[in-house]
Amino acid sequence: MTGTPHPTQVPALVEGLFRERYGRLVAGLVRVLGTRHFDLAEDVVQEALARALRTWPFDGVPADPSAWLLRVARNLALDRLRSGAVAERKAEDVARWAATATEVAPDAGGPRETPEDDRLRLVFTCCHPVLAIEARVALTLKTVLGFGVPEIARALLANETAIAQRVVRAKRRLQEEDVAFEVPVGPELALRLDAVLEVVYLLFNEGFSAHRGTQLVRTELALEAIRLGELLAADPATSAPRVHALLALMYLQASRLPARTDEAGDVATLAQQDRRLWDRQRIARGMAHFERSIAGDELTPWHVEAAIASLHALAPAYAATDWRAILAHYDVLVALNPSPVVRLNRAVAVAHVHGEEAALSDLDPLEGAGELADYPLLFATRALCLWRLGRHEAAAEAFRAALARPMTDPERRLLERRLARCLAGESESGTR
Amino acid sequence: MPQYVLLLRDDPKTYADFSPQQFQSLIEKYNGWAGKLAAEGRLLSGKKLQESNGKVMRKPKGGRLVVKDGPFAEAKEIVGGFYLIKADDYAHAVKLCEDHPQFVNDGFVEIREVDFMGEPETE
Repeated sequence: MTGTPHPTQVPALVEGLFRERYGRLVAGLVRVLGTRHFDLAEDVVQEALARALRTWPFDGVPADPSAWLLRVARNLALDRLRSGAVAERKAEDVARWAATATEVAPDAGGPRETPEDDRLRLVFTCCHPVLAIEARVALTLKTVLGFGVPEIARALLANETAIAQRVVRAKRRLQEEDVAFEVPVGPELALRLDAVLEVVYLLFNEGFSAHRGTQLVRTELALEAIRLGELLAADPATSAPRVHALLALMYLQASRLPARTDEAGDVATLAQQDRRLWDRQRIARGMAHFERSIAGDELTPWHVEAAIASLHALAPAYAATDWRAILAHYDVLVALNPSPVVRLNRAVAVAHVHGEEAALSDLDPLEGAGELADYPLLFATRALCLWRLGRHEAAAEAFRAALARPMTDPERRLLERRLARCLAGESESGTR
Repeated sequence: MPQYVLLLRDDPKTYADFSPQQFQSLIEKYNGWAGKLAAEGRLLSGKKLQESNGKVMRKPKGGRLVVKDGPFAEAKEIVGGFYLIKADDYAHAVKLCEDHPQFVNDGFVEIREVDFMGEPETE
């Protein structure tokens, strides 16, 4: 009764532990109970975390928090199965799972592969092509990555009610279809892997360059996408060259994250960034994955995008950028994926290699097609070209057109500063 | 030094929709508070009370002793647990609880001094 429940040095919980445990415990339970009991699995894990909150503040954090959560989740699952009269065999399976899922540490090496395998199966289940891409993204954030509905809404800049409904419907769909909880094999794997990679890529881009909101970058989301990519790369079954290509692209892009915004949250453009702030470790990892991505004859847009990102990452200064090589890659990329955004990015390289006039004539058809009508970068790129050519009035008009489109607050401030300098008759120097 | 029992009351349903991250950060806030008191040697005990079980006993005048299950689950607020702490006086005990995370989610803290009836404290 008089024992001190809280020693003076309470070991802090590992950052993100609950989010990570959520995904792992749900994965294990869904494997044992089947996709039909997705809701039960999530309810039970949610309740286990709630019990931790109700108990640990008084009794102290247990010596092994993960084992505590596993035990409580198992007991709750068994209770639910007994009261729900689900086959006795399921209860045995739950008990067996709990006995084998005990881990010494979350990332202990060795042959303990079952929990990781379950997570991978959960990724493939949540990213099943029966679900629309938006549903896949929301469900993956919720169950694999342990995000709450308000957190998902914030991350995707969406409405909470809409996200909640999206998650519920997605789960219902998976339960109705009784989607197999497995990593597919054979010819189906390639198709299913693409459905997963699409989610990873979207999550990364949402974190790396938001379309709206107050922040330019949501680092956490970008890093979660990388974690998912690593999960795929770590398993021989899913470690395809295009997985490494996407990881290379993500690491190389993410290496610039520390330099992309200044202390005030303002944008630092590629030309302005202090390259000493670039994360060398991410560049190294990106290059290592790039090496592995070219082992084979697979060539995806991610391969080419990673190659372009590597040219930026390896350039010692903006002025030293090999724009000719970049333009050559864009030519390949346009052939693989002639999307308007790719053609817009190619026009930027064209401006560096062949001059602004050439770039402007590449931009004209893009503007005419109207697919990028809401894309501020199209107009901002035109504005910069015109400004560099000394056509201040036309440039100002293009800046205004860009500012009329949705964008993040930091991007808006950047364009407003540029517009003011352009109107003041200053020349485009690429520094502000 | 006087001792105080802190009864922490709240509605467990408040936390039903918490995200994993919210659970973890709130636990860390609780631990921060308790850890600080423990470091100062003020935290004597802390116990979690069961929330789904409990008995209420009562003997109406002239009637028989009635023992009922405590209907805690339906109650708006229940005592989730208690701490026993040392403080200089009530004002000090209140001060120690001011930054308690219990208040973040509409819970409340009841502070009661242990009455030693003039005897020296055993703690």
